[in-house]
Parts: sequence; C-alpha cells; structure tokens
Amino acid sequence: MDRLLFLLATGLARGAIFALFALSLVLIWRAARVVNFAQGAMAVVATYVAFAVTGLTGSYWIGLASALVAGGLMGLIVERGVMRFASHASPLSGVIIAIGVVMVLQSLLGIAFGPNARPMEAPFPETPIVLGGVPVLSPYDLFVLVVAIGLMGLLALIFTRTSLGLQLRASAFAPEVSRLLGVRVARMVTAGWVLASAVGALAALLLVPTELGLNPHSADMLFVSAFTVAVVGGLDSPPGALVGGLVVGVLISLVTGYLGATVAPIAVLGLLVAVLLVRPGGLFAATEARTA
Amino acid sequence: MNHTPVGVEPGSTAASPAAASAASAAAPRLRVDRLTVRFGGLTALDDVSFEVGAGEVVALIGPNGAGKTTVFNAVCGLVRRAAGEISLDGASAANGPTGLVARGVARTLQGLGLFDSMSVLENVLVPLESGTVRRVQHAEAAAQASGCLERLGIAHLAAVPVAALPYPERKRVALARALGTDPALLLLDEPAGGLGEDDIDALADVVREVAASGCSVLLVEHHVDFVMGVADRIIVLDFGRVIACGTPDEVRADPRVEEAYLGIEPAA
Repeated sequence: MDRLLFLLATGLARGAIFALFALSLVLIWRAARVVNFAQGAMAVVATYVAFAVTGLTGSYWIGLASALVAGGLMGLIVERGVMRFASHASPLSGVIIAIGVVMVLQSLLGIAFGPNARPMEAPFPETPIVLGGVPVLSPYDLFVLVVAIGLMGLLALIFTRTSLGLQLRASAFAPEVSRLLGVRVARMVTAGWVLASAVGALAALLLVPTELGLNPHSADMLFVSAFTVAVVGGLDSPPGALVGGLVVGVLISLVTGYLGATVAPIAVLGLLVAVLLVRPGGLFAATEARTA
Repeated sequence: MNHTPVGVEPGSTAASPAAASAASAAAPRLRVDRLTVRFGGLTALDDVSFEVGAGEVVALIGPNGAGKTTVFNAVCGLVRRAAGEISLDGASAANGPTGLVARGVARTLQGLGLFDSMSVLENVLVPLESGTVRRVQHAEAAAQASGCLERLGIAHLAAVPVAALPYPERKRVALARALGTDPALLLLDEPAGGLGEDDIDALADVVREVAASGCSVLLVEHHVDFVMGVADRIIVLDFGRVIACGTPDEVRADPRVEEAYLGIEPAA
C-alpha cells in the first residue's frame, strides 16, 4: 500500500510535466494545425539557455525566467522563420519541416555543448518526504506540481478572461471567420507558438533535474510521452492534455514500480493503441471538437 | 451600355459646383463600380455596378449561382477582383478582410460561422475585442455586447454555449455579433433562411430599426416576402449580371425577373 501511494504521488508529479508539454503540443495544434515534432528540441535549447544563465548568475530562478523567454523566442523564430512557409495543402509538410528543425537544433546543440549529459540541479531536495512512515512526494515533486497547476490556471485565465485568449480561441476554431471579424489571425498563430513554446520549455526544464542530466536528446522521451498524452486527451483539448498527462504519468510510474522500467514504454504505447482503436479523436474529442 | 451605377438616377447629379461638392462629400456608403470577378474560366460577376446609400436597405436577389454571395465576398476582400472598384464612404476598399470591421463593415454568413464552443456573449465579443476594431476597453466591450443581446431578446442566453442553441437563436447570435460593432454597413447573407414566420417578422423589424439608425444594409435573400417588406431597392442578378434594379414594386413587375426566376419568356 505504501508503495502504491508513493508511486501514485510521483506519477502525478511526472504526469504534471507530461501534461504541460502535451498542452504545448495542443496549443500549437489548435493555433496552426501542425503537430510540432520540434517541440522537444526547441524546449531543450531553452533548457540549455537556462543551464547557462544559472551557471553564470548562480540563480535557478533567473535561469527559469530565461528558459521561458528563450522558449518563447524559439517559438517566434521557428514559426515566423520556417513554419509560416509550410504548405497548407498537406499536413505532412509541417511535420517534415519540424523534423528538419529537430535535426538542425540537435546538431547545433551537439556542436556547441557536446553529447555528454550535464547534471542540472533541482532547486529543492529530491528526497521523498515521509508522512506517517510512508514516503510520498519530494519537495521538488511538490514544486513541479505547484508550478504546473499554477501555469495551467494562468493559461485557463488567459484563454477565458482576456482579449488575447478570446482571439486565440476564435482564430483556432475558425480562422476565416475570425479574419472577417477583425482578428489578426497570423498574429494569433505566432502568439500561440510563443505561448506554447514557453510552456514546453518550462516542462523540459522541470523534467531534466529528475533525469540523468541535460543533453541534446533530453526531451526525446518527453516528447513521445507527451504526444501520447495529447492523442489520448484529444489534440484539440487542453483539459484532455491535463487529464491525459496525469493518466500517463501515473501509468508509467505504476508500471515502472511493479513491472520494471523497461515495460513502461510498452504500456504507454499500449494505451496509445487502445485509445486510437476505441476513441480515435481522443477521450475529450466530443466536447472539444473543432466545430466552426 | 450604360454603366451608371444602379441606384443613382442618371442626371440626378446637380450641375452647379456647390451641389457637385456636396455630392462628393456625401459619397455613398458602398459603391460597387463595374465589378468583375472570375473563377478560372467562369465569370462569376460581370460588370456589376450599384450603390448603397446611408440608411438604405438594398436586397440582392437572383437564382442560385447568380453571384450574390460573390458580391459579398468581393466587398469583404475575400475574392480577387478581375476588374472594377469597390469603395466605402468614398475610400477604395482594400484587398483582404483585414481592417474590414474597423472600417465599419459587418457581415453574417450563410453557414452562420459561430464559434460553437464559446458562449453567446463571447461570440459577440470576438469582433469587439479584435485587434482592428476601435480599441474598446474590456468592460466597455462587454457592455456593448450585452446591450446588443438585449436588443435582440437573447440577453438571457449570454452564458449559454452556442452549440446548445436551436437554429433561430443561433441566427440571432450571428446577427448580434454583426450588430455588436455598431457597423455603418451591414451585409446579411440569407438572414431569413431557416426561420419561421414569427422570427422573420422580428428580423424585419430589426433590419428596419438598424436602417433607421443610419446603418446601410445590403442583404442576400431568397424569401421574397421578407425582401419585399424590408428593401428600399432590389437588385436582381442573373449569371453574374445585373438584370433589373428598382423598388420592390418595379422589380416585381419586371418581366426579366420572371424570366430569370421562372424561365418564362417575356412577351415580345
């Protein structure tokens, strides 16, 4: 029972990171109808920036802020510089360009920083707190959960309470109609990329201290898991990303704990296949489908 | 061929310089001059000219495929003009829909184009909050949108998601969204389509009210009684050309209209 509680708690913390990263994929999908396969590599670039800034200043928090800025800038550069020119005739063109961006970014990171993993320290201890004799979350896990929940709340506020959010939603659902209504759809697409890339960068930054270290491929598995989350939740659905993230996080944690780490990726892919067979649009497709 | 825009009486422009100056100062709200639109080899609009004055209700009618919606799309900058000019209040209309709302043009769509996952109020807020309309403050925009919902009798539905509404209410939301920006030119694409008689009567009242406030209305509609009841002038299109224009009574009596609609050859 103790073990189950521990695995559930750590699964939730890991799931919150998946949810954040999946949310970044969902935001770009909604804004531009592109599955951004470069999201992981872009987030790693921002994490390297945070790594460098933290090294220079000695402050994790300045590093975190710089990761958000760098992530947003990566979104701006990739959208304005490359993605905007992708043909809309086929969804494949965006995907292929994104894969090209991955190769370029990972090569550049390899050239600049080398292939070796660099340890990144967490701002809080990673040793689980023991409550009533049961080890549960570590302070860092708690920090991750608080940041993830806080950010999701902030995004929910932006999307439901601000002029920017209203226009982002409008242009995501019906770009042509939105144009007629005066919405600057191209700007909204860029804003979606910036926002999503900053969120993706934060997710990667939160994940890396719990892994072996920072290297150009640090976010590869994060992308695979988060992509599964996005498909499970429904690519159009931010609430789906949240729930899907927690489900996948807990699933990985439980399978790793009871069956071994090697079985976890199979479990994730099994879930992906099951959802695609039973409900191809994702668990939240009915309520969030593109309708306009 | 006479290219005087329909709606402008030939010779009605006064000869005196003062009168000419006054006429140019009071440019028509919408002027479509010798508009031609082609889609590949198909000529969708051929040398179409007309004007809509301030506070005037003009209906575009014609059989399916006559080019009515293409006129709307051209005014909104959604289709490329092969020839011709479109001006709003004397200023040439830009290509592309950007800035349309800021220039006082609002449009409803045949398919409504509502944001189903948004609430009624949010739908009406989108053009009010968009970047190109006059920058109304958030609270002011909400008040303006709420006032518009009240005007159309759907204020009680403000928080309801549009997807949950029956069709007549959805049409009212689309109309409210167009009226919310307080437009100078309102383009209504089949506003009576799918409505019952009571709703059509209410719609006619709204259109008259809007026009009385000085807003120009250009509408495309198949519902003949509605058109005859609200339009000051009717322009009949067939195969992309203007075949008749005049008051409802004049158009009703025009044999070319009968021919276009019913295939009846006019008496020699």
